[in-house]
Amino acid sequence: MNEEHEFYSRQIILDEIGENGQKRLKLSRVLVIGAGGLGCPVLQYLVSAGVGTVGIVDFDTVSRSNLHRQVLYNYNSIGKNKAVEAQKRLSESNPFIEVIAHTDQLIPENAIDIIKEYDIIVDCTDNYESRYLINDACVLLGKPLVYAAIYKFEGQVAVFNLTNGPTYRCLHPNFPKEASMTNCEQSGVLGVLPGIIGTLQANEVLKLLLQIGEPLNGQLLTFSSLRNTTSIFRLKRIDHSVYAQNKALDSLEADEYKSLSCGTVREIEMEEFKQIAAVCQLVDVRELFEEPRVEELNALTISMSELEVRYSEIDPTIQTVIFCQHGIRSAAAINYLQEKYHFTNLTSLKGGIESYTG
Amino acid sequence: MSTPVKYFGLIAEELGKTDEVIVFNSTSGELDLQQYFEDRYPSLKKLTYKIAVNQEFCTHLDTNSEISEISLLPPFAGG
Repeated sequence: MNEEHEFYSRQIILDEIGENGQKRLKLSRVLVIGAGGLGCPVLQYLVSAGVGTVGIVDFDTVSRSNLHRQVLYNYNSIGKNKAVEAQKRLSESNPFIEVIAHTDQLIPENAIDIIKEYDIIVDCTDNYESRYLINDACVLLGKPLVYAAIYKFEGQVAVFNLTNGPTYRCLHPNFPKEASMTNCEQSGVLGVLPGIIGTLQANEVLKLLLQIGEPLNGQLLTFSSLRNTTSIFRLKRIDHSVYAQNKALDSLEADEYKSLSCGTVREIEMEEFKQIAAVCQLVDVRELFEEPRVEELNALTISMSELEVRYSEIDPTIQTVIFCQHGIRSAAAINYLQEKYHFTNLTSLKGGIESYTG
Repeated sequence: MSTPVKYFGLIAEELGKTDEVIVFNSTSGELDLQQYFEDRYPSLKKLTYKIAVNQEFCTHLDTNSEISEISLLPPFAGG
């Protein structure tokens, strides 16, 4: 028996899998978007089961407060890119498959190009912007989407867009009202919940690939970890949903997915920024290795992962512009600082520092 | 008609309960559920949620039909 066969032998002996099922897994390509609380267990089980090509999309870095639930990482991972760290760890756990790290954030401009390379897409993200973007891209490309989301002690799992089945927009056609945008408040989570929900999500992916059992096609499974209760809700495909129509592949409009983060983040245009940069407090939330460095601006450099320990270095009394590469992390940083520490003097540099020099 | 109603996530938090039993008047015919719940709990107006009757999403309730359960589910984004 060769090593690879031996690696999978305990699942190959299952009648429902066998040699053919294992081959099917090996030939398949699955993209996991978000390598956080849900993404970690999903990735571990897909890789261990022998999915031939596993892509990971995550632009974020590991922070200390991730480690209680994001079990692929360890103390040495802090500050490093999640997709790269996960890839390293997963490649070690199964040498017979390929793991690809995508370190760019998924945005309307790159979503189609990244997603089209895979057979099944797994949504493990933590914000509505990404969830709608992923759904719409999957609908445009006809890709099945395995979705999961959590809130405190509750989780949901569903399979969308499978053979023209219901999509995420058939469940929630539009972005929620502002009061329902709970995510940015860091509502808290016990690590075991994304572990359970992510494992259910991985199970759905494997069932789809192996064509066994009954996937949650157009069904929303809910689970409460406090009560051990589950329910399954049935959805119908709503055809008036814009994205259920045939749209051109280049029609993901960036504006539809922007400025929808919770809370209010003020943005400053580059023109104005250049005028006031010398007289206000500047904070660079990028990692030290990110280019271009802009030393002439004399910005405080506090990366996203350091914010929770170094926030007090930011003077809350003077006008402050926070910037990152593209203006996305800086908005997230402001959300966090406003919510948690009640800063009122922060503005995000629109478009990020990349357009400062460019 | 006594019907168990379940509240999920932020809806349960807003209302301070995860479930209750509501008695619907079976002579009232078709009932607009969102209207009904927002009259009963005005604070729901600021939130987004879906309503399911017998585990199927819908907007109205036929008070003459067989109802085993109503659920109010908000969207979740965490991951």
